[in-house]
Amino acid sequence: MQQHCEPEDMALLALGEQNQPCQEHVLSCPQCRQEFDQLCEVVTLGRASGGPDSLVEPSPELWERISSQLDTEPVALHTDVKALAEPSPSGGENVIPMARRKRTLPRWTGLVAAAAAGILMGGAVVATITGQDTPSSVVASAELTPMPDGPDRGGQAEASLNRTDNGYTITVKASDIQGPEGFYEVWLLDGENSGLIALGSLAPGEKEATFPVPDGVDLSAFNAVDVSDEPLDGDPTHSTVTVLRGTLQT
Amino acid sequence: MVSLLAPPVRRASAICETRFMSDLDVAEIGRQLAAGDESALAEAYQRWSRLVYTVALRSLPTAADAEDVTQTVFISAWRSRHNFNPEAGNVPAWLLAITRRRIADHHRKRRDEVSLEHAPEALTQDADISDQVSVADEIDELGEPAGQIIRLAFFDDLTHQQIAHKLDMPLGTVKSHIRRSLQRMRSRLEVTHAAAL
Ligand SMILES: [Zn+2]
Repeated sequence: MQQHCEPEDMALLALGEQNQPCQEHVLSCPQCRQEFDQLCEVVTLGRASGGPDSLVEPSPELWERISSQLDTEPVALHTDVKALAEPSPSGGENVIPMARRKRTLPRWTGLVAAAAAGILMGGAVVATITGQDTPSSVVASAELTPMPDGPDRGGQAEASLNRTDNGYTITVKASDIQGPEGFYEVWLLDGENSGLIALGSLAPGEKEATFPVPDGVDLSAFNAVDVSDEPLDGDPTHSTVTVLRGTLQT
Repeated sequence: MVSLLAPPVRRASAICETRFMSDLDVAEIGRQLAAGDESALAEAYQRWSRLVYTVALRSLPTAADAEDVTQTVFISAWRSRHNFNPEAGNVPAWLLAITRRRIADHHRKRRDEVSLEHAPEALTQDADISDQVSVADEIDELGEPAGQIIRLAFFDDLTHQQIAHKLDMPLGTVKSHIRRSLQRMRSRLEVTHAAAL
């Protein structure tokens, strides 16, 4: 048997150039044959692709549509966003524009955005900062349990509301929770379930994550923590599939 | 992350390699995205929205559907960035995996509506489309002169001698570019397939 094909000869053969000795070898050598088939696949796909010039740019507005949804996390499960739109008497003075907030707070809280409409939203996830957080004290906690009419993913979970030098944070600790089907999103909701604030997502198997609570949220109203299973559909609203929920108690 | 890009340096040897974006840059975008840096998503969009959109456009009936899917893919990517492991995969392969799932959703929805029987066919077709567009995107990444050499070989059907003559390059240089470019495209496919599993 002739020695293996030179890699360069094989590449040219895959492109359809004539090379009798190499071609004969490939037909009789399983190792070279495998390599050759893969190169042929690349050539076939490449020729069928129409080449890089055939790639199409989406319309320029598309990025605006996308970026406008990044920090614009869901606000309301139903339609009542008033509770958030009107700054609460207690914390209203803390509602400051994002630009100012960004300068005065550490990077990881800067993602918390106040939208053009004046509605407060949260989208930041600071799971990675656990352990290097500013000192905090637990002011309320909740056991998170499945809903009576919702899925039961097993395991155990709890949430705590913490006071820090930079405001409040919510910490979710979970163990042995199965899933998610999409991804787990953590929300703060008010007692009447009329308003929701997205806090951030919980990675599968993640044992502990801490999320900043947007400034100005009336924590006497938004006193429940909800974990939902969200499909990867880009829809920023709550999927209505609540996996865990609990009310914070002092 | 663009700042990581060294200006292209042409060496007069057969192994001159100029690339628009190195693997290092791609990995850096992945790390920053996983860390929650919004500018990394913008960078990923700039770089790979054509990839995602073209795959969607070739797989779905209308441009509006393709834009919807593209929008969904990047928002999904952002919202599930914690599930992205930059050490285990790369961003374009991950985006394509999400794209294919969203396109499959689209087909499934339509199948439910009109009860189409040829869904497996559609899935195979989708896989081909995503492979083709990945290869086209990789050609775009080759830099010059490798990109031009591959274009001439793929689309103008020139032999390596004809390419060498046309570009006034040594035969060995042309052959070497062809071999390495095909290998790059093959690796790209492997990563794309691994992410699609
Ligand atoms: Zn061999």
